[in-house]
Amino acid sequence: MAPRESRAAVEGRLRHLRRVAQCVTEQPIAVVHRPAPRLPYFSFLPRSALAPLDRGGARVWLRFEQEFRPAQNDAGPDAVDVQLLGDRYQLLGTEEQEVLAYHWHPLGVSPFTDPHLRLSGSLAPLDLGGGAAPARLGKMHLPTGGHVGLVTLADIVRLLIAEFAVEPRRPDWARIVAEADA
Amino acid sequence: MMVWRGEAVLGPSSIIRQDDDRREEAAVARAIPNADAEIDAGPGWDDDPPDVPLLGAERIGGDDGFPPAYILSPVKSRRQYNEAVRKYMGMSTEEFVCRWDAGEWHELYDDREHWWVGSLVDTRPD
Repeated sequence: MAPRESRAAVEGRLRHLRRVAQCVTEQPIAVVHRPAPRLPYFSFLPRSALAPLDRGGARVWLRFEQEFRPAQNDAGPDAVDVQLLGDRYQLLGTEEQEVLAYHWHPLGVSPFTDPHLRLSGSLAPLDLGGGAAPARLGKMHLPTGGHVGLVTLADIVRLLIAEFAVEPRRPDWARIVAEADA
Repeated sequence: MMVWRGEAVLGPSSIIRQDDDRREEAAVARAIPNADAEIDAGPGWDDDPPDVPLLGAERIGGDDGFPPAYILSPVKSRRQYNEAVRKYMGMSTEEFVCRWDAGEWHELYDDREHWWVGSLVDTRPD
């Protein structure tokens, strides 16, 4: 694809992001280029800063990153779009503590490669009653939709076993769940 | 090993050297000839927000009632990344990347208490 088309796609995405972000913050947005094979990404500027959000007189923080690559879209051979290949959205409290985060880092070292939600670690464990061990939602990675864009039963089963401490009824559950996602 | 934002435990061999950033930028500039050429020709320098160090960034939009966006070259990106590593890890990019590649902090990659680790790893410049 022509560089000019790629650039137009990236600029289009930038314009879209700044319009959306400006609804809550004035923090500038940029596309950050890196030497290949690293992918470029969108984020607030500067990289060491967070986007301030006003919340009832207090200041909380937003940050995000979207890794992408230009790719053809379905509109035709010359139509170029931005294909997202990973993202992070975080809401941080006044002390920059993480309140919640939506993550998708398929190439990272974490075993959680599908999109997921992290809740604040300061959430009190949830009492399940009946003497069951409390559910520590603040320690879990809650699925938000994998490759099909929807939360699947396989996502839920993986959550229940891997994070909710539900006992698997088969030793090969991980393989079966992975095959269900394939 | 716990890592506290901006308060990394540094050993005797980990003295922060302010020259690191400049050396790294020079290395990037050598590896990517003319990396700055495009952005240095871009408009908007004088209009950058005063609290945002964006010198050299190419400006996109900003004349339609919405804030401008920017395109950063690898060199400028590297400078900003260095600042982020310094802020959150208290060390140079060179040291951070070297220690990550050696296996340090991998358990913190997806840890909410150390959320900056995964972000810095995923946005590493090279």
